[in-house]
Amino acid sequence: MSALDILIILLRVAFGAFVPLSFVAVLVWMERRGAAFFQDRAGPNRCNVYGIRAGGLIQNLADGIKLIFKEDIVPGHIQHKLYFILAPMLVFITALLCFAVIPFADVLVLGDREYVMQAVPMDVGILWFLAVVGFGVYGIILAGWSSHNKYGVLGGLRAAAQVISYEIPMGLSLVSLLAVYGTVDLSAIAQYQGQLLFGFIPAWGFVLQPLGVIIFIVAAFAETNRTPFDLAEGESEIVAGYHVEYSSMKFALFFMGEYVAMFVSSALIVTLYFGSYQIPWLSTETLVAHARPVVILLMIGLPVIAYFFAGWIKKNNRTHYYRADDPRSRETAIYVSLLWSLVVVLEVILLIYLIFAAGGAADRILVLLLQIGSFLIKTFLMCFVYVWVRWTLPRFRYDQLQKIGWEKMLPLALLNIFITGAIIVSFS
Amino acid sequence: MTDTVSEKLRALFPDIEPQKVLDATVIDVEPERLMVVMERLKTYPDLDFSLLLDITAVDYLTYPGQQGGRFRVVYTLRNWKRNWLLQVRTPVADPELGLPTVSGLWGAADWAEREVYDQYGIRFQGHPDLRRILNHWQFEGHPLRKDYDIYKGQVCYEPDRLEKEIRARLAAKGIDQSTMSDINTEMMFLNLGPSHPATHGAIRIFTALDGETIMANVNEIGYLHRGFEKTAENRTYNQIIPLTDRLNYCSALMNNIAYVKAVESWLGIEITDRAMFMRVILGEFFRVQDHLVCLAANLVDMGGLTNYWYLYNEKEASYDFISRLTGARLTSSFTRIGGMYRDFYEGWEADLERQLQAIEKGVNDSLKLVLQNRIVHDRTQGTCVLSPEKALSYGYTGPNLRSTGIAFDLRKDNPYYHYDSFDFDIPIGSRGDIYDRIMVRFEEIFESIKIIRQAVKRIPAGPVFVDDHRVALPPKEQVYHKIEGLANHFKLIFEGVKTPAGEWYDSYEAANGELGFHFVSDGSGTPYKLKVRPPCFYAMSGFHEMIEGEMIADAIINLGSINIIGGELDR
Amino acid sequence: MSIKVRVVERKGRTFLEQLYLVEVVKGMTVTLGHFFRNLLDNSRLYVRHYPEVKPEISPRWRGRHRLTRHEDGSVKCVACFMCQTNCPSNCIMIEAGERFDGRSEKMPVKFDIDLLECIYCGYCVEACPMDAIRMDTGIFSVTSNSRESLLIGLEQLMETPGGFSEVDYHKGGG
Repeated sequence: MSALDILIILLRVAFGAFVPLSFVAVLVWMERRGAAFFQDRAGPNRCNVYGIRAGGLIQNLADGIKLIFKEDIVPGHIQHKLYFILAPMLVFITALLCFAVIPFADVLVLGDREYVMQAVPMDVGILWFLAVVGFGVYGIILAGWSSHNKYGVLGGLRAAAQVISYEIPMGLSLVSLLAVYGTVDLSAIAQYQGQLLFGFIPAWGFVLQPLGVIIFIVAAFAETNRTPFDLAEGESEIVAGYHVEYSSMKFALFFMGEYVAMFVSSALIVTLYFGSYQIPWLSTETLVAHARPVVILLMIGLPVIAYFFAGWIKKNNRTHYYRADDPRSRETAIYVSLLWSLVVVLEVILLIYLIFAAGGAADRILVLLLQIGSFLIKTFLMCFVYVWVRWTLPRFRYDQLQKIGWEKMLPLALLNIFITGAIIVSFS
Repeated sequence: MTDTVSEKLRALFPDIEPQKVLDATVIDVEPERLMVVMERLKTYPDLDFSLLLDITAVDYLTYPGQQGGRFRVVYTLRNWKRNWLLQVRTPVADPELGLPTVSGLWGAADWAEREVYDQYGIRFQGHPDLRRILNHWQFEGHPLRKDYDIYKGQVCYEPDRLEKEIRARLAAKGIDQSTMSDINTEMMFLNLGPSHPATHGAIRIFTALDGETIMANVNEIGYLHRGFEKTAENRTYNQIIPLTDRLNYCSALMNNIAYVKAVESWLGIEITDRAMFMRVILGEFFRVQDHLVCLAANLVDMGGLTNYWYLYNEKEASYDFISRLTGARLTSSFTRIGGMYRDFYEGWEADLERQLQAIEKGVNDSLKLVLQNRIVHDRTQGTCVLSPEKALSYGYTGPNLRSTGIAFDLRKDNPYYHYDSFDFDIPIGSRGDIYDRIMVRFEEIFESIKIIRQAVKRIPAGPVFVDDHRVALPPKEQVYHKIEGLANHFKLIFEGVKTPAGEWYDSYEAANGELGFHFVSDGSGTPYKLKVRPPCFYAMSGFHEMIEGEMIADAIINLGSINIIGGELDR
Repeated sequence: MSIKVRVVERKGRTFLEQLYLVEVVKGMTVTLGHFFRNLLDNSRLYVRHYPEVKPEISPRWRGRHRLTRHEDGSVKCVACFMCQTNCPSNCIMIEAGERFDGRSEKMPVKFDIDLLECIYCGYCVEACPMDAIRMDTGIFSVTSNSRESLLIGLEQLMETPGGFSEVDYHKGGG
């Protein structure tokens, strides 16, 4: 094990551990701001550190501090304190573990060594995910049961039934997908999606499995307990469902666990159906071969994007009423200057790359970074779809949800398998 | 119309002499004949008084010139098809013995008689569950009796367990103790409320669950009981108007209008045309506000929180118009006996039209999310169905009744304030489920906006106050400079508007149903008794009929769909 | 002019409506429209940045009370007790004393209003024959840290200036 090997291992693990956690902050922000913009209101816009509000991201800091300092109540009527404390940990840990097999970039070839870009480079791939995600529901059931509270029990029961009902359509839609890709390993699946169908359509999952993508996405919403399937914690019906007796950090663990699960589900959907880290029409080899034109394109594109972004900031980051010595204009100036300095730094780096290091390992590292960026952007957009659906749709009733899972999703998933099988056999 | 009622009554009961009081026919019946008379009134097809509006009692202890017994119970009935209003009065010799119950004939009598027992102490023989409803279960005494000490504060120290009542309800459904002890069919008792995010206001819904299905349900109200009726006995008629604001606080001005309409009809005052159109415009505007609140809250309970904002943002914007006009956002107190407090301000038409357009936009946005959404259809179609017969029996009126298919609306059937000259539709439902209740309210918003626009075009110029010195405060110039003006002002403030002695009932189509007021006047400027006929109270009394057999989730959205407002429910 | 009865249409029968997804997607486009409208231009959000932006208070607004004065500064109130009688919540407590400047016989020596009992209905203003008490201070937020400070007396009532000009107040908005 050379030093490079150890470095790559550390980087991969760090990525797999810290990216979901930092994405939680982003997701909480996106949820609150997004919800507000959907509803014609502003969302959190007052928390600031010396005037820097970062569009509401500082609010997460305030929330975190509040949750840490809140009184952590273990109600007196609880008999099994171990399970009560264990439950949120289970939920959080399993959600975080699921991310281990998701590839965030193509296999990195440095010299003669190949490094698979997953947090834990196993080749069980999707089986790992299916196993661990089913484990998370134990946390919810334990939470509901050990709360010794009728609302909690109702929430736990609903969650258990829901997860079981929707694991099956999820698994079945995956079967047909795996039949198409021919492998269980997620890195291989991601590489497969770099090809072009008929010469011009990227062979992404949703093109290959249009029915399967719908089934999988609906099942993924149900697995993560997001609206319209959030009846386990339906606030207006059973108050808070399974986490009704929790406070402070334990509640924060549930809360973060839900967002991590949402992030991981989005990442998985992107990996399986939306091309993972692949930039459309530009596979890894193409990018490595044409590294210089790509970099030049980037060097031109960055200032353009920065210009429009700065214009948008200046237009919207104002106080909409009269305010002497407006702190927002100072803030806007700071943001714009930060943005432009970032652009300048990036341009300098790209210039150095162009002049000195084009060709060889630096190319591959550049492509790696581009692909990580593409993966994160796609996952971000998919998370936005989660938020978008949450604030549009009302929720299902418990028995209707079961009916859909068993009477509609399951037959559809089986039908999908048959159709996929027929097409594969007829084309082979 | 009322004459045919009198003829029919004379034909059936030759020794009872009906009198005509305003819109109603009043008969006095002896307690021995009460059950016979009531049965005939309900069941004979040519009488068919299927809607029991209200039951109340009067305590004549300090009434000047009273002969006869101390208590009298008054039943208010309506034949909605022919627009006949009937009041049956029965003296009560001994409140402990009381009267026979009519809860076998009308389901509404269940809670109405409980209220009479709670407030006056009159028992009803044969009542299935006679206990207190508005005051707490540890209360002693009967507050609306004239000899109750109003300075006695009574605190309740323990919650009411309601165990006996729920077991009785389970037994009525055929579930006995052995079923309940068997582990496969064991019942779980769950309290929804009183502190629950979805019971709007504090209402306790006590359910016996089998899994998630509600097998039996008992409700407890009275958490917001503030003693409106007792307070009103110590205030002049005009002073009660700000108190009526706080009844149905989502549509405060409609309560004001209903109240002064009742007093003006007794005084025989015909208000000016401009005042009538003002009342129509503002009444319909507040009806829109009330429906916006109800729909927004109901959709939140279903999980669609964005609709709440699309509907509420416009409601919040209309508070600008309301506060510019009346001086407050919620508690408008804008009517007076004889007219309106003030006229519109300059430029009101443009403001109002802007608000109406904004409301239409918000409602259309919300409808795009809800109208054809199958998730909403699955949740609301076919759940918590209320049949027309049950609705009438339990005293439902307003959009709740119209959603079952019965086209009864006081604006059409007993019109006032030129409503019959406007061009609008009355939307009715067909199945009486939650979907119909929601859609009827959406449609009523659009119809009310139509009425407002027509009225704004037609409103005449003129005074908003009738020129009658018995009720109208004189204009301030006369008060400052002339002694007659000052004396008139003085008498009206100190003694109040004096009404002739007697009893009467009048009603108005409020946002949630028929809002009626039953007055007893002793000739002075304060009412001797004032009873509000609250539509929400009767809507809540039939709640258990709608949710038994449904799931918890349905019960929650059902509570939102019948638009229960705590202020009106508990007074 | 006619009033017609109309049965509300029950949606949900067509095949496209029964496919959940079509209507879900249509609903999602509505919300996305709102999102982008607000993202690109956030000046039209329904947000009032209280307490920096105060709500608009019209001349008719029933805010906290004040007692008016004549031009020479003496109080207009003649302690006739009309406002105390007309108040539905009995929150005004007046004590009358003799007035020596010849304008009338009485003036208030004590004029307490319990702002916690007051229901802000404006009946005292309506009852006053001297235009002595008004609710036009424009103070809409009556808050304090102690109950005692919300029982205001004669000096405090006389000190507060009106929030609107006389012309605006008598016109009553517009």
